[in-house]
Amino acid sequence: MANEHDPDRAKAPSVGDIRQMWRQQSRQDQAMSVEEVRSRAADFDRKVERWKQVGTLTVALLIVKNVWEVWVDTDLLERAGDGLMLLALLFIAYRFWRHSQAEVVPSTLGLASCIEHYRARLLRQRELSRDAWAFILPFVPGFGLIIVGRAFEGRPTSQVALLIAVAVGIFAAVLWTIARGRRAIEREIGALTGE
Amino acid sequence: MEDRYAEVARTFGAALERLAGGYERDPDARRDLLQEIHVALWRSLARYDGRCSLRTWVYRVAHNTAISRVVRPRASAPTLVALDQDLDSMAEAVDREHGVDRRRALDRLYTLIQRLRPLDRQVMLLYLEEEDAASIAEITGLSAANVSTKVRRIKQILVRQFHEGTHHGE
Repeated sequence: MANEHDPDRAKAPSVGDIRQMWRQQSRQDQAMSVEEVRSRAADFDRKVERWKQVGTLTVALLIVKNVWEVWVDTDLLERAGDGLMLLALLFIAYRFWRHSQAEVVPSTLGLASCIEHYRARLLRQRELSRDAWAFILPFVPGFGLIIVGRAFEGRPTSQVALLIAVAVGIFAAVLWTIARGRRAIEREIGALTGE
Repeated sequence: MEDRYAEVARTFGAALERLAGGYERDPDARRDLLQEIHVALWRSLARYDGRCSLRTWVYRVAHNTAISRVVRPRASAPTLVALDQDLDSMAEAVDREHGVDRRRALDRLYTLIQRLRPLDRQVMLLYLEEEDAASIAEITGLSAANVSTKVRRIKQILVRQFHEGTHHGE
């Protein structure tokens, strides 16, 4: 492909040269032995197990904290709010658990072509982000009751208003971030549809 | 299964290393990805039932593992381009200051690969590994006609990138 009449282009490699150069790269990493791979697979399993334990422990601690608050709060509205927050927490934990069950396991990776795998992955991400409301709304009634309860406790209006503003701001920011991510996923799915 | 894995590692080890480099340029990240691919292969081979060639299986596992780990569409992520678009800005991204000595040529190639959208990147990597259009179609799930179009585009890009690079560098 080099142009004989153009000295500048004489050194340009052909496509065949480029492919050859690609395949002839020297190896940078030591090949892994079977034992090493087996050990890494076991490490990976241990790590996944550890993350599951950390997740379970975190949810358990949050449940204990909420149960404790239901127990010690004296105001009826606040107790009801804490109870609703507890239910919301259990519901969200259940949803995350269900989502994690659908994760692709490495043993099935060879069954799907690249486009099938990528599309499935994008669809799962989109489903998760579409359900963003379902992850946030469960906390709204409990949070609302807690705020109302505090308002009735005779706290200054400004403090209650600030609390509401912060809560609304946090919910809005979370939803905006999720919606932005979802648009990126939608664009990618749209591009795949044309393939 | 151990024998089969050992055979896969021996036959495809170098190709898998290059593949990992097509997704991750940072040496540590590339090494992590490569190990993850090997672990995924190790696990997957127990499920290999011969419904496709071992080569297809290995490349599918490797690319699917890499895609799962590396490519996550985010609003803030750098824009990846398709083979048939925005090639001028892609050309700007590569280093044109020097001639096409081997190291620089490879750097340029990796830069190019990593700016491509996932499927185009996979086709490019498989093409560089000298897979034919039918194999690329089977691995990626794209139609043979689509693969042929992409391969034609890849050839044009490679010629343009490297000829322009040479021209600017001299």
